[in-house]
Amino acid sequence: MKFKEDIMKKKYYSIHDIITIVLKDYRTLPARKISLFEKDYNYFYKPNINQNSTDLTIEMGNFSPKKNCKIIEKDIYKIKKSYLFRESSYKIAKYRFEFSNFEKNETPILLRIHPNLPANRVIHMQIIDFVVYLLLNRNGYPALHASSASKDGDAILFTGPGGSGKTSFSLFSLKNGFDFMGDDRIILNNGKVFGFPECVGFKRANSQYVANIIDKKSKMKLLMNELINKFSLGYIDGVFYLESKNVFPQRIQDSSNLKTVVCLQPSKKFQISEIDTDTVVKKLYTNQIFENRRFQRHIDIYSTIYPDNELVEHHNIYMKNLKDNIPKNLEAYEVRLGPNDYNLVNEWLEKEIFW
Amino acid sequence: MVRKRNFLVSDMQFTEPERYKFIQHYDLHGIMKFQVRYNKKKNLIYSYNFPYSYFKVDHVDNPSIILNITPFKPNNEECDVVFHKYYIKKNYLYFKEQHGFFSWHVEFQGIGKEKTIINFCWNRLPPKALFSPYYFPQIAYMEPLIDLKLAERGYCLSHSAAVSHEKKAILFAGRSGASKRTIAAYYLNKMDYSFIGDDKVIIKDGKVFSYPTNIAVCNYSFKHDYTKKLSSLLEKVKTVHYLYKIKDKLIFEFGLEDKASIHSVNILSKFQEIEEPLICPKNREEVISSLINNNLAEFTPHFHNSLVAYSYIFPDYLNSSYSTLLKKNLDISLDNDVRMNEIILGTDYTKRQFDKNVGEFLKSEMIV
Repeated sequence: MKFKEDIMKKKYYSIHDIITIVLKDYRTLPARKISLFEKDYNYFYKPNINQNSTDLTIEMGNFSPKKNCKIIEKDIYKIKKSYLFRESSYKIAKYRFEFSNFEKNETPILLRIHPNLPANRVIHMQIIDFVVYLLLNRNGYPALHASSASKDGDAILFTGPGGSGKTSFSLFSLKNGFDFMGDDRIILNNGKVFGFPECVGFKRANSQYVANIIDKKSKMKLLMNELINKFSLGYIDGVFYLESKNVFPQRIQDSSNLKTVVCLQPSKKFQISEIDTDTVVKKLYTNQIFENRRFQRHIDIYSTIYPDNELVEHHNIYMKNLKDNIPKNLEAYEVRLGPNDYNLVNEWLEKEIFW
Repeated sequence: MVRKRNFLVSDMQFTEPERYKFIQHYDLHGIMKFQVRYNKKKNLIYSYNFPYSYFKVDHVDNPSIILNITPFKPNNEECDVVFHKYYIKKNYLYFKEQHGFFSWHVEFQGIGKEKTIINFCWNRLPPKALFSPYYFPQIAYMEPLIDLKLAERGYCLSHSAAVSHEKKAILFAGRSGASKRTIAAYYLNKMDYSFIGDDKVIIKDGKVFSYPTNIAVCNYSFKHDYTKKLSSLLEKVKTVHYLYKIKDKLIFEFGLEDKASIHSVNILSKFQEIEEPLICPKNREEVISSLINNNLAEFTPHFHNSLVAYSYIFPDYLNSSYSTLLKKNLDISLDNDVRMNEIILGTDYTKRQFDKNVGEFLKSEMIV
C-alpha cells in the first residue's frame, strides 16, 4: 500500500470556485500521458488551493468493488445504498467504475475509475463530465451544451445539437474581436455565463477563422492532425489536442452577462427567426438530456432498487435551474442552416448581431 | 453485397397490396390493435420471429400501430437534422442506426397521433438476426411504442412477471436477470398457478391483463430446467432447434389467465451473500417509483434517443411526460390494500437449491 501511495499523483481543479475536484492518479506513465481528462480540465488546474473542502474525488487506477452488493442486470451492475459499480466498454475502450457517496449531504462524491489504455482517451466524456454536471446542477449552476464568446462584458451563446456548427461560430466570433469562453460546455448562473475552455474541437473548416490568432506550434499540431487523418483514411482523428489555454492565452474570458442566444439547427432551408426565452429553455434542456443519456441509464437502474434518492429528480431540478437562471431580457434567434450556409450566417452575425 | 444493399433501399414503385404479401393482425385485449406487415423470404422460424402470437386475430380494423418490415424509400426531404442522424419534421422521424458493421433504417410516421406507422428495413443483418429478422424491429421499436400508447390511454405496461390463482395475481418486477421468469416457472410447475406474463404485464385500475410474449420459448424453458440461463450459446442452439421442430403450432402448455386483480407487487433484487430469500415491506410511493424507473431503464436506447431527438425540435413532446403519465396511471391502479414488498434473492441457484430455498419461501410467503 505504501508503494501505491508513492506513485500517486495528486492534482486539484477548481471550476470557478463553484466546485473543487481532486484527482488522485495511480495509473502508469503511458496511461497518464495519453489521458485526456487533465488536458480538458487544464484551464481549471489550481496548484494552490484549500484542500479541505473538495466536492469530488476522482481516483484513477485499479480497485476492487465493494462486497455485499445487490446484483442487477445479469451481473453488470453492483449496487448498494449510495454506491454503484459497473463494468463498461465503448468501442475498444474498457473501463470499470464505481460511483459512491452521492446521496444527500455526503461530500466528497467519490468516483473510482479503472480504465484500460485506450479508455484513458474517453472516460472524461463517458463518466466524469456527467458527474461534474451533476454537481454543478446541485449547486444551482446548470451546465449547457453550447459554445460562447464575449466582448465588453456581454456574451453570445451558440447552442445546437452535435455537428450544427457551435465551434465554428464561436471561432468566427473570435475573428471579430470577441473573447473565447468555451466551445462545448458553458455554465449558467443568474443571467451570467461562466466559461469552460477545454480542448477546442478544431476542424479544417473552422481553424481558418483563428489563423491570425494562434501561434506557430499550434498550427504545426493542426497540420499534423490533418496529415495523420489523411494517411489513416480518416480512421485516426485528433492525435494532438490543443488546449485553449495554450492556443489563445490572451483571448479567454472567465464570465460575462448573457445577452444573445443563437439556436443552431441543421436543416434544408436557410432561415432565421426570433424565438422566445421559453423555447430556448426547452431546447437547452433536451440538448443536455441527450448529452446525459449514458449516465442517466445508471441512475434509472439505481433508482429501481433505491427509489428514494436525490438523483431521480436531477432532470427536474435542471429544468428549474434553467428557468431561474436564464436572463429575462434575452435576445434569442433560431438559425436553420444547411451545410453550405455557413457564410450566410457569418454575414448575418457580422451585420446584425455582433457589437 | 454493396449492389444488393443499393437495391434494398432503392425506389420501390409497388402499390400497397403488392408490397406486403403477409399481414399479421393483433388485438391486445381490445385495448389496442396493431399490425405487422412483411414479405416472407425464407422458411422462417415463425415462433421466433413473431413474439406476439398470443394476440393474433384474423383481422383488425384501424390498427393504432403498423409495422412494415420491407425496404422503403424515406420521405425525409425538408427535414431538420438533429444529433447528426435524426431527420425530423412534424409527426415524422427517420434515422439510420449503425452498430459496427450492422445497420438498419427506421421511419416513424404519425408520431404523437392516434395512428403511427413504423417502416423498418435492414441494411446488413447481424448474425443474431439471421434466423429472426422480424423479431428485433418488433421488440426494439414497436414494443416501446405500445408502451407509450398504453400510457397515454391510462394503462401501464409494467416490466414484471405475474402469476395468478383464483383470479388474484402476484406481480414480480425487476430488471432483466432478476429471476422473474424462473419464479413464474416455479409457480406454474409446482404450485398449480395460472400464467399471466413472464416479462411484461398490463396494469390498470387494480387489474392486471396478460401479456405473454414468446410463448414457444416459455413452453421450452418452463418444461425443462427453468433455472438454466438461456443466454449461453449451447442453450440458444437447443432453443432454436426446439422452436424449429414445433414450427407454428403455438399452444401454451400451462394454464393462462387473461385478467386478474392485483394481490401483491414485489420488487426483485439479487444479493451476493445470502441463500434464503429475504422479504422487506415497502411503502406505496417507493414501489410506484421503482416500477417507473424499471420501465425507464427498460426503454431501448435506440428508441429513447430518437424520442429525445424528436422532442428537441418539438419541445411539447417532451419525454419526461411518459414518467408523469406512468406515475398518474399507477397511482390510480395500485390500491392501498395491495401488498408491497421487496424480495431479495441469492445468486446462482441450481434447480435443486432454487426449489429448496426460493421455492419454500414462495410457498410460505407469496401465496394469494
